[in-house]
Amino acid sequence: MNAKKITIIPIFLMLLSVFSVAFAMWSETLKVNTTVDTGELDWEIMEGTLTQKDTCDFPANDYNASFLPQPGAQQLDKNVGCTDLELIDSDNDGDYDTLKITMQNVYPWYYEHIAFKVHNDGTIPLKIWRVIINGNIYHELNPGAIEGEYFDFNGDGKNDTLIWWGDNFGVQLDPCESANISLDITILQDAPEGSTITFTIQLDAIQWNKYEEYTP
Amino acid sequence: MYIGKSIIGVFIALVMLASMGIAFAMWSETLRINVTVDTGEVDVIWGKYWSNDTIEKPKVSLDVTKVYITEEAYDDEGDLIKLNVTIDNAYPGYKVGIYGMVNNTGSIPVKLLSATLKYNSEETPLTLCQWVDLDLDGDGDLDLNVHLGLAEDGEDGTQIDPGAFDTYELVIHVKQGANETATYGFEVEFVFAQWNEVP
Repeated sequence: MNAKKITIIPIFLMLLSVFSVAFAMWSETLKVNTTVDTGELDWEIMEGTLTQKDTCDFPANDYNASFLPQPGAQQLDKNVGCTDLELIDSDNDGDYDTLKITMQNVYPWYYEHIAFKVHNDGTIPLKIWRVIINGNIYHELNPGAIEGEYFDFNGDGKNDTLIWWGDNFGVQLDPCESANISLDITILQDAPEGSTITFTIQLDAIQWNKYEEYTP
Repeated sequence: MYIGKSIIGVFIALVMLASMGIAFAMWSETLRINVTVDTGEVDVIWGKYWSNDTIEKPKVSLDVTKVYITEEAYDDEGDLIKLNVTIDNAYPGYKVGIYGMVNNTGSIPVKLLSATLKYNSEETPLTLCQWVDLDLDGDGDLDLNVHLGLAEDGEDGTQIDPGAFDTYELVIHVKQGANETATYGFEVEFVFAQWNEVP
């Protein structure tokens, strides 16, 4: 038994030395240390750039959609309804990302025009990608057409609101650049009396190099 | 009587010893070989390095992402052995090639034995001409993928003889799973070994 052990030990040592020779190749190591810092895609509705025809902040006469189905309006001689605008920072990142539009005491053919600037306050160029109105995605809204888009926001089967949208889709905003966005809203004849019509408009931007890929 | 026998015995012994001395006293000459082995040196360094950030930009004349390559470490001989690459303000879809010339400054031909990508405590072997996906922050989304290849530089790309070079290309691509304003770091280690030990 002891003799076997004594025999195995030299064999093991020989094998170990053979492996040592096999692994003892000469080598040299080069390295590359890599750091990737990603940028930020961020944009905002610029405070102080909001303009409208019929604010609730002070008395102003209403506007009538006199040129339907074309956009445009004439000012009336009465102050009946008004539109209140409020900028909201919904994700508390310091940017206004939501515009809350509340139309009070409005009526068919009441017309409002709202304009504002959007600003790229990120570090990556962006393109104005799409607008989502109550869940409906538009990469273009009434392109080349005079008429706006009709909506049935209260779901009663009758269109109650008409919206025109500016044509800045696909416009690229480099960091610090801004662009004008505007929309016109007209209340239609089939809007129900004494009701509240609520809808959301979401404006999405996309990183500049992905616009074509993600736009039908 | 005893003294006479002893004298004869001593005489016989002396005669035998003398005859054996004659047998061993043949002429001889010795030749020697004096051997000196001077070993060579396996030594590689980073030579020139660059990126294609400025020459493969999309058509828009806008420099959004910047790539900086600096020299990070030298060995005891003052050879550059580590590069530092910083890609600043990257975004999904951004892709850049980092090029480094490996100069054989030693006296032994070398071959690439292994390339390993290291991040956190993970090690991933890199194979030439294969993309490797990376989830560096461990959030389940792929952040980057990298591709190690050989650039077209007129060399054969298999063996670097003394005084020669090969140019390696490390392509880094930012994937959609990368987070905004995040930092991703990794290290690539190239091991070059004596030519006859690498298959």
